[in-house]
Amino acid sequence: MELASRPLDKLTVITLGGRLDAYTASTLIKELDQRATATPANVLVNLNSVNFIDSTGLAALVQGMKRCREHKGDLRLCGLQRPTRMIFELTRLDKAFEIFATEAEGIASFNG
Amino acid sequence: MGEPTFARTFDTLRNTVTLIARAWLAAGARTFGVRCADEYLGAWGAEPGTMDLRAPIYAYGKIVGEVCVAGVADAGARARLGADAALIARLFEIETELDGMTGELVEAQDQLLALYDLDRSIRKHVSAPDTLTAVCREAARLVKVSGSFAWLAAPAGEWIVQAPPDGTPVERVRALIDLATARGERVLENDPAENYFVIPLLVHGATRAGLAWLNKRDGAFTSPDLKLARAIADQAGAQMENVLLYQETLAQAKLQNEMDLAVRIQLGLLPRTQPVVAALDVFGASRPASQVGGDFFGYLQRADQAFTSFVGDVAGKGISAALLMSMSYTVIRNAMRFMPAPTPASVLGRVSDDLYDELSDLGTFVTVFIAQYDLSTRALTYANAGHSPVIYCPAHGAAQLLIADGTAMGVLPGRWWEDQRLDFSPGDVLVVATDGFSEAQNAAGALLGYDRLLELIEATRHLSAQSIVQELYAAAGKFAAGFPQADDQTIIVIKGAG
Repeated sequence: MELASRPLDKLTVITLGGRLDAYTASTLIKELDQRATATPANVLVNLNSVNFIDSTGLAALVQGMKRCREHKGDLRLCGLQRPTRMIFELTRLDKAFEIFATEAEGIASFNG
Repeated sequence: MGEPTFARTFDTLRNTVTLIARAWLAAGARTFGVRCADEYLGAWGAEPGTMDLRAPIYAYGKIVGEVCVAGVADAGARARLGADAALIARLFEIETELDGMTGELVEAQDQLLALYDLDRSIRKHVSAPDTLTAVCREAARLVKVSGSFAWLAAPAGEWIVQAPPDGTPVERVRALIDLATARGERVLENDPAENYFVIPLLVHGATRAGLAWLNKRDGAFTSPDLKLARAIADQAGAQMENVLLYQETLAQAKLQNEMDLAVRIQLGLLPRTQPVVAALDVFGASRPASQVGGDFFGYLQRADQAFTSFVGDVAGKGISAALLMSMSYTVIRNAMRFMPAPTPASVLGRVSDDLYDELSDLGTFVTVFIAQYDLSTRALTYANAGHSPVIYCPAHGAAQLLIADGTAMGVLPGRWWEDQRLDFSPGDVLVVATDGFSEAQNAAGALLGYDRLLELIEATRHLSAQSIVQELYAAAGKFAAGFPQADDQTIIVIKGAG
């Protein structure tokens, strides 16, 4: 899994690539733990280049989302590809997260 | 053995000196003698009286004795006596060196034996404190000090052992350990008032252990002492590595045992027989991955109620997932058993109330699908907390994925689920699987995926529930083509019977 973190004015954009699964989720959790120390903890995770996400990966995103909300922020998602989007829809995680089609829209949602 | 002296060594030279003496007597001398500190070590010929010639014996840069002769006094004799004195001195030196070499050999032999004993005595121990105690005891005995201590710091724990206890305060021991560790090399103090020798040791490549000697009995550490100490420390270091390795292996074996136990507990929870339900054909199975996972399924048949079945999956792997699986399974079953009029949604709500905080603390969630079949209405009532894939395939129609009506438990607090109703006629099929199926992979990294599952179910819907389950496992196995199964594969097939 590739992970790139880009701090912006009001949020951090984390871009993931490859597989987000039981073997790589801990890297994301560590990164999110660091981001969630700021208040407000605002994170946008770009999943555009993620080609596989399993339940451990989803749990890492959920955990990060809760952590951010505890710190008066939020973790939002953008760029979900079809298979990933399908998992979110089938499991109704699309109701738990705010999801945007593009990174620009995701960033704008925090700046609004 | 003590310092070699001329007087002590002379006995070994006596035979040679006798030959020299006889030559003097044959050449006309009355008496020939060898003296040391005004005493004759040997005299040949007449009783020694006044000697006419004397020559000092110089060895190691000093006079160690003298040769003297009576009855001759010419210049030739004087020169000859000087030469003989030099010869005897040389003999004395050679003899002394030979003695020394023998001494070293004997000492080396002693040390080898001592190390062999040490090795044998510490090898018997497999725990860190026992090994350290044995090392200390032998170290103190061999180097002849009043006390010795050893330390070892490993992930499994930290030990400092003093043996024999010589009254050295703990703070003093700790200070010496810190000193040697900080320097990363041996520390020697040879002050007669307080002497010590501390050797830090590399165990598994890091300075985490060491051995120290305190208070040498006769006042100072000599070079052989230090050599012996280093040899003991090398030996001790190797043994400490063995002990740590052994303990790691032991810990791993213990963990493996616990994993095996967790798998057995998990499998023990799952139903071993298939339910017999009027108007339904039901078959469920679970195939665990090599690592313990969090899948579970079960049935409940209460006389006063509709037949209920459930499938769940804890996100994550390993022991924590297995524990949460057992907990979820128990909470769900209890809710279904003891709630007055449990419906799938009310059970999910109750279970979520019970589990949300724990799941949230552990940063994970559980997906659960629950279905109830009402024979009188021939309808399935279900509620789905984030579980997928759930596939409904009517007898005459396309298979379709059923979307969950709320997220998995542990994602959001509160009750998000509603009972959904599905008319269930003979030939209709409901497949509730876990993501181990949809995410079954082959070596190329491709997933079995939802579309293939839908096709497979449409193609097998005419079969019995058991056969559909078997076909799906076979298809997943064929697709993976030997690529290891990464996640549990659990499935329940419910089919309307005639």
